[in-house]
Amino acid sequence: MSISVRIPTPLRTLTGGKDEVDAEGETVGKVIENLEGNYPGLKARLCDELGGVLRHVNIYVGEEDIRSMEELETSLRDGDEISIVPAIAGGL
Amino acid sequence: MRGPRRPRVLVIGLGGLGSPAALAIARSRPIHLTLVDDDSVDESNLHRQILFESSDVGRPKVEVAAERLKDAARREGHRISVQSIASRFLPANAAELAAESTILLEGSDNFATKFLAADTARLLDKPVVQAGSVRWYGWSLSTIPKHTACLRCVFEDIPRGVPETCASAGVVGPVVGVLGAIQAWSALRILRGDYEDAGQLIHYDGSRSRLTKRVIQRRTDCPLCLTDAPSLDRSQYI
Repeated sequence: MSISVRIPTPLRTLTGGKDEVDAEGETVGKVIENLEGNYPGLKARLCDELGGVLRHVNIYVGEEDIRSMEELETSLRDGDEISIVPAIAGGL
Repeated sequence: MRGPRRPRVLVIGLGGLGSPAALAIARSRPIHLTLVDDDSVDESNLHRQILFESSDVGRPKVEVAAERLKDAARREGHRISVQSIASRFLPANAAELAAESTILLEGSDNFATKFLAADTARLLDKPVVQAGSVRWYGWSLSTIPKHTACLRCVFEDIPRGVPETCASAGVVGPVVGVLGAIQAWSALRILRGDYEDAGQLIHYDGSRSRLTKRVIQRRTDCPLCLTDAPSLDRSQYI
């Protein structure tokens, strides 16, 4: 099952500059594990030490926030698109 | 006889977001702007902070901006009033600075000020338009307190450690300019009573020329949405 993951600018240093990568997994959590295997360090930018999504990171499946679904247990379908939206403060 | 009172926009920060946003608003209509920024113009600002020129280096931003914004409005055939506050937006002065405002427009470069602006808007029940930008990417969110999702519905609290700011990662002038223009557009829509885009998180990815809008649901456990009287205690913003 192939899932497309959009990588925001602040995390592209971990994906070799790629703004979109493919990943495998039946749930959002499994996709993150798959991403970590291919792009070490990415999981730590998304999840805390207890495994939950960091409070300042938002993950969407299509247009839906996984917080309004089943968080990391949110099921995925082949072809789903995941977007990662971290908090950024710049503007100066 | 006096006409209806002009809308009053509190502009928090006159950097890469606040400069283009304030300019667009000043040129659009008669209005009152209160500008809050404690910084002076630096040469490194000039490529993106479009209110300032090299001859302004060293002068307080709020002072220069007031001149430029009044000139810009005059050239459009209307007058604006501007109040310059050479200070940071802080827990100690936030409520007072925002009390007379119709809307808050926050374009600061740090999370503490962003959450303080969100909390102040909730406390005073005023709309707030916020944004952030780093490198090629940025976001904007307009909030109508008690009616739409707020900053704490989206990002919850001040991130610790990891997240980047433009100071650490850099910012692309045209990208932050787009976000500032979006803020102005959002604020002007709200001022005319059009709330359609409030509660939508707008992302702009300048590296792909992609603009995305997502409707954000109010978080049922959002501490800011659940209270009528948020504390602005400084310990929350450290």
